Amino acid sequence: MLDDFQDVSRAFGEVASSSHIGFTVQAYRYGYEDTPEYGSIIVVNCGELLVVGVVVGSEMTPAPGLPATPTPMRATRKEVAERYPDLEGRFLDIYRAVSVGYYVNGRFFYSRPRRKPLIHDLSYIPSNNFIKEFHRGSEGYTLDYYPLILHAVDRSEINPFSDVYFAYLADKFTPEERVQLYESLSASLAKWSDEASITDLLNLARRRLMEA
Amino acid sequence: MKQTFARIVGGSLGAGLKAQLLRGFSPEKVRASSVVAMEGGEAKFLGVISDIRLQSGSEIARSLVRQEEEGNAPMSSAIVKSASKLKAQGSFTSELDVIPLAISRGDEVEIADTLPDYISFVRSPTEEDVQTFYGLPDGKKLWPIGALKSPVVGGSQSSLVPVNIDVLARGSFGIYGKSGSGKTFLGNILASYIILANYTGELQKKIKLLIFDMHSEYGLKVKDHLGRDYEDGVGLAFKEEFIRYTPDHLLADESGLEPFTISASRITVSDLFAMADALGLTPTFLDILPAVVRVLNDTLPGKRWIDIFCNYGVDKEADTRVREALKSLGAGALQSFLAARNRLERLTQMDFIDWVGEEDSSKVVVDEVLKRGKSVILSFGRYGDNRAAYMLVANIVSRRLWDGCIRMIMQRQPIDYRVIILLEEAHKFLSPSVYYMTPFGDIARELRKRGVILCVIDQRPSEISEEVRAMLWNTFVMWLTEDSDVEVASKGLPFPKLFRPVIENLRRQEVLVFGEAVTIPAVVKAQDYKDTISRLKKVYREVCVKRRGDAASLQGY
Amino acid sequence: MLNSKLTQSAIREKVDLLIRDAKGYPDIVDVVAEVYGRFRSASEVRGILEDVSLSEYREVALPLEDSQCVEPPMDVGDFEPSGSGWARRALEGNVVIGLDTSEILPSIHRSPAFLLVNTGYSMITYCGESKYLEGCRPYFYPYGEILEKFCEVGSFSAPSWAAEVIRMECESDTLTELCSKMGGVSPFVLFDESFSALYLTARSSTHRQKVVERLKKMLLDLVRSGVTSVGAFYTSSSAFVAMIRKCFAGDQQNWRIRDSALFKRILRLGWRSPAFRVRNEVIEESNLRIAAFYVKTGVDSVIRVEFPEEMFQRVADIHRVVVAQSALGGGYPYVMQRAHEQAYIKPGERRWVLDYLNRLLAESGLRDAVKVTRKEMRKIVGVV
Repeated sequence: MLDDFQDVSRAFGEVASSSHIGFTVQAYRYGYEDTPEYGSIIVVNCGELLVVGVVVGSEMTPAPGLPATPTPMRATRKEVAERYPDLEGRFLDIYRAVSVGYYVNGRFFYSRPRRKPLIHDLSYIPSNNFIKEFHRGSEGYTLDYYPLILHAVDRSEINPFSDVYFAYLADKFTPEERVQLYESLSASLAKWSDEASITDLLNLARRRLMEA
Repeated sequence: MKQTFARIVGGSLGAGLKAQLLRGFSPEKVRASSVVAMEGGEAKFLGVISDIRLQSGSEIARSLVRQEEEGNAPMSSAIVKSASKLKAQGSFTSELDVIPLAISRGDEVEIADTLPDYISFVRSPTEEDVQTFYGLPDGKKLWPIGALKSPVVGGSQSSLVPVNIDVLARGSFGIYGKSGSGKTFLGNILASYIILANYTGELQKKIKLLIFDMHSEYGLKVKDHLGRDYEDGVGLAFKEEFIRYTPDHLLADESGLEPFTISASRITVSDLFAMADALGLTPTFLDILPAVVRVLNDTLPGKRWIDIFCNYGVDKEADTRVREALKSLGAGALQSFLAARNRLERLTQMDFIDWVGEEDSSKVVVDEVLKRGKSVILSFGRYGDNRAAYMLVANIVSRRLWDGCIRMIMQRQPIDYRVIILLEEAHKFLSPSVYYMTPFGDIARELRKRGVILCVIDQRPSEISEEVRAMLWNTFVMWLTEDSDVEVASKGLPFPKLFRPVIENLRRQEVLVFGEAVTIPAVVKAQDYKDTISRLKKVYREVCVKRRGDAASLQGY
Repeated sequence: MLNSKLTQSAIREKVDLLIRDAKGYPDIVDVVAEVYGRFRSASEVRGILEDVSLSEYREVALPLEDSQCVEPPMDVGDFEPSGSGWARRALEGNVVIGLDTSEILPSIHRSPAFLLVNTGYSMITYCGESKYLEGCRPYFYPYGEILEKFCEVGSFSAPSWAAEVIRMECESDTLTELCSKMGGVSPFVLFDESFSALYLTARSSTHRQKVVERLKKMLLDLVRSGVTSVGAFYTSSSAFVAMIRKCFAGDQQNWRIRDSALFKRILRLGWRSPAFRVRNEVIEESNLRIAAFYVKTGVDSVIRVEFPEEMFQRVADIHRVVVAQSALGGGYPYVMQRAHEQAYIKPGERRWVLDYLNRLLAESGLRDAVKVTRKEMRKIVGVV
């Protein structure tokens, strides 16, 4: 498993900041094909462990020291790239992720890692196989880690994020597997989070995992 | 087997304890109104579960249910599995409300004066617990009322909770319960124990029973809940101990009961007052009743006023004179009299009233109870549903009994027996409005020290005068639903408010018993009547065989 | 610190003069523009100006083309970046490099003295999918090294021209490295400096000589390498106006206007003046041949473009590249803006250099080795 995340050329970016809750990754390039989606899983190679994060935010801003408002171009992406190929170096494409688990000694754990990623650690977009393995619990596919996201994301963001994330998961799993994910959700939410948010989340999960 | 299923998580002595079910233990397995043991750090406790509650997880459950739609089997299955996971991890919790009853510190048992500590285990009581807190039946003075209601479904208690018959017979007691709750079964069993205790209990004074058997289930067969004959009542089971009377002379012929007759002469104005409601006599009439009687006696001195009231043997001339005379009592008096007479004429249809002779079974009954060997059962047969008949007979007999006791007291004659009067539909005699008009009130107040007590059997205890209820030393409460009845029935219990849900949750044959005759309140499931009576008959036969040689030494036997 | 109240009153005292100049200025520009309309033949003008004394005119422009204004060699549209699609097309097939430098000069306020030259570069390849390479390269010279390199034995102070010469050496070195990555393609290199070096007039002759010598070498090397070197800058020169005055106004008028003011008025966006040979004292001394033109790159933006006269046949390409770059940069060549960013040493970074030096020297046992005068310190931390 660790070997999949050793090739530097396959990394999409590096950790730019980090804490016990999560981390941000600055992407090397900002094309869609080179970067993770909002509401997707990314992995950071932290040496002896892999930290699994979920992208809960992303933003693109001019690099420090540059004018805050980019000059209007009125050109397509391709045209902009042809005129200003150096623009890539002038923007920061940042992905903010919440740590939802880690892989060490041959198994996955659904809790915050005790060691945070370090700045410059390489970050990868994992394969579908890895994503499925991450969700494979002892009693079937599970979303046991979900409350970690809720505790790190602003309340107003929870629903829109969850909608996207469940749709993302739905693409990765078969219908039977999705049912298992759904079944695990209420128990994992009840363990950690306040009950008021559970209804909305179950609604969203039902629409995306059970009815899609 | 000690089955632990909860732990104490809070509460107070006044408000009751809170216990949380252990994770994975379904609330469906727990019974309300059952008795539990609690293992404190330094003492053992007994308590009663008064309420069961789904405590936390309600929001999650609602959230889950909102996801379900009819006919969507996969969704339903997912919800069930989700719920299963939630239960397993303790997201759904259930709580019990437990009333602390008693505490056992070593050998000492007393009413709970403190609480078990946090996290104390809550479990099913064991045989040892029952023995510690209640003692064991000994077949002498202590007779089994039933097994403690097990808190866990599927669990059962073998040890039986005893009631002290000797203590029970020292003061009036009540048996409360809705129709069909098992009062009559219980009354018959208690009566049977009293009969046997007379032989085995080494009682200072033997106990006699005077049973006003409204539905003939003491004197004949006890009925099941469908009204079918089920088993011998106490009068049939222990025939030798009873004289069974009945005012229903047809029944007497059929079933070998003694016909009960009262002379019309024995009917008093007080009896009419007591029967007023049953007879439909208006308050207006009752106001002028004594004056009317006076006028009637003055007008027709050779005639009994009751005959005139009931229009028995009153010719036309006499009737005219009566009408004229009644005019002197004012406008409306005649109309009231005539209206009342219409109702009172019903008495002439009661064939146990002797309008001609002076035959009076009530004296025989009272003599038997106070002086001779046997107990008496008055089974009312077809008059069981005739309130007026029931009240008339009960009033007359009890007045006779009262008079008899007073006379013996005045004559300084000892009353050699303790007498328990079992009175069904007791509120008809003991409600606040008539209590002072019937002899039963006097008996309850004045004759306890002479050993004459009441057993009030009723489904509306709230309608019994508070004064009478305050005199009850023991109470057997079966299923009640009316708030007023539940409130009244719970008085006398420690923490009466906490017991209300316990009473409301009692089922058929379940009894909450408290008072002097049990060490601490208990909720028991009464034993099967048939098995019990069968066993008791066997005991009786053994006892009788044993004592045949000594029968003469037994008082009255 | 500026006392705003006193400053306001000082300005108000002379504001009438300002208003007079400002109001009069456009009129003079109109007059010059009208007179310029008489220009027809470059050779005729050159004939008049080749021998004119430079004591009278610091600098004159000798036209090399007969046109009064030259249109751009391609269709130009909007000069805003949002309309610069044509500019990208115009650059297809070219490699353009912007080069700039920034220095920390030796100062009497700091010891030990040192020179730090930071060259900044931005190279963009406009061949199909555009690629870029940008960065900076620092060059560090302790004062002793400067002395060794440029001073006579026994001298304790470095000559005034040393820093400039070193700067050009650094530029050359950086360019050499960049060119080695180009795989045979000949780039355009845009410098933010004047090849005609009029500013050297105020320097000593030795200074001028040394600097121009190095400049010539650099330009020659670049020409030989196939590099098209272009200096593009804003100037207050009035060489072209001097030419008009001398040749078409009877030398009577004392027009004090800049070339850029004239060409702001008469040029359209993307158009240029006729190319001209620059004639000033520095060039005359050094035998350098520099050609130039003015080009309008914005509503209020006219820059002067200089290049070695040997490259005159490429003037149309130079015009195209400068105009296209200026459109991409919103009025100033894009690669030069990027090169400047790379070269610029921020004040914080200057302080960091001193701190770093201090730490490094402290590791060798020299505590507080870097001394800064009180005057310099006050600039950094203030008096109290």
